[in-house]
Amino acid sequence: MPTTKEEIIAVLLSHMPDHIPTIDDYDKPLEDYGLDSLDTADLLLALEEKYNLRISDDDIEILRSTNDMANYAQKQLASK
Amino acid sequence: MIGILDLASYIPPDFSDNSVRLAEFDKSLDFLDQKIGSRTVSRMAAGMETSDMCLNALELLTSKSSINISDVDCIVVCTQNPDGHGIPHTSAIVQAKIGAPSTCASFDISLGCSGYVYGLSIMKSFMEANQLKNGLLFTSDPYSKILDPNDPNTVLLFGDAGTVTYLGEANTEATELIPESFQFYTQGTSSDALTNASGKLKMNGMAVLRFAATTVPVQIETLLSKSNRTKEEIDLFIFHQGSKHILENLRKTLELPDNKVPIAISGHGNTVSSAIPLILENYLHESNYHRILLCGFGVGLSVASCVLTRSRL
Repeated sequence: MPTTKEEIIAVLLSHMPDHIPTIDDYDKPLEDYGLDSLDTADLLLALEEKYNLRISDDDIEILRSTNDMANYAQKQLASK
Repeated sequence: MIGILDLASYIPPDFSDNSVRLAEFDKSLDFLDQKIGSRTVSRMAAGMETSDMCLNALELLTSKSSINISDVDCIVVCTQNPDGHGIPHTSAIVQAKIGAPSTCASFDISLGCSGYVYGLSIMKSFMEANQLKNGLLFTSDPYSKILDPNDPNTVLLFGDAGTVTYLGEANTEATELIPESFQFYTQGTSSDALTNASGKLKMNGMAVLRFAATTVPVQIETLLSKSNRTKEEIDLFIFHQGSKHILENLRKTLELPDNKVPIAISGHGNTVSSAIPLILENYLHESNYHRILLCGFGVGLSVASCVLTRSRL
């Protein structure tokens, strides 16, 4: 059964840093919630490990919101 | 058998204060404190050379150790930023500057963050194979020579420092720790993650973080298995001080208690191959630390780890 976007978002939310507020707008850039570049790197690493993906350096720059990351991962998984 | 007798480290007194550049780089004080782990990074003085940091470390060693320079028969300098342009090798310059005998073997090792552990293995093996008895392993890799002042990924992170480790016969009263059970790993396919591109350091932070987070834990487990030890039997894990963020990530992944994983990056930053010995110096003579695991990782990309066992248990 293909991985749903909701499942991917759940993985991301489970790896959010403890100190940030609840993510209630999945289109809002994560830096607006207080995440820095290393926090974002951790989230992308979590997706890589969970779904055996490799996110290219060029793509990292454009993945700024929860939906950006979830859509990206879902697209990668669909093309496997 | 060769073991570690003493160790000294030199941190230059000059610093770069990262907190004054926060607005320029769109970073917060919290980022410096919680992610990098330091608000300042140490800087070698203008006009100083890589060999000079070696000498300063040695001066500190001789002030507390019984080493006799006329007995030194092996000098190794671990650096990827040597004196001048690398010819002659920095260890030869150090040999001359300290007045070590001409019978002394001197060579450099071109390694970064994994360099101290590699250096211990190389020197131990070299000295044992050639019946040498008094070796000095220097780490001195001033990245300040190649940092891009406008790159926040690197200029806020790396600092300068030099260390010297005195290696000698393991069966003496003076011997503290014996290196055993080495483990090495190289991922040259990712070597472009950390390069000196046209004289400036370039680092792909995500690639380095990915490597550290995924490869280092596996290497630690492999080393423990190889040396028939459990995590509980290791009293201290001294990791390369890449950043506070990476160290906390590793501690969590390996499920290690806080008191077994020192984080000592504050004040000077990531000092490359000097990072591990800077911390080891604080525990070298603490006899209640029976087994210490060292793990250096970084440029290459490369991992080197070993277990040090207390000579007198």
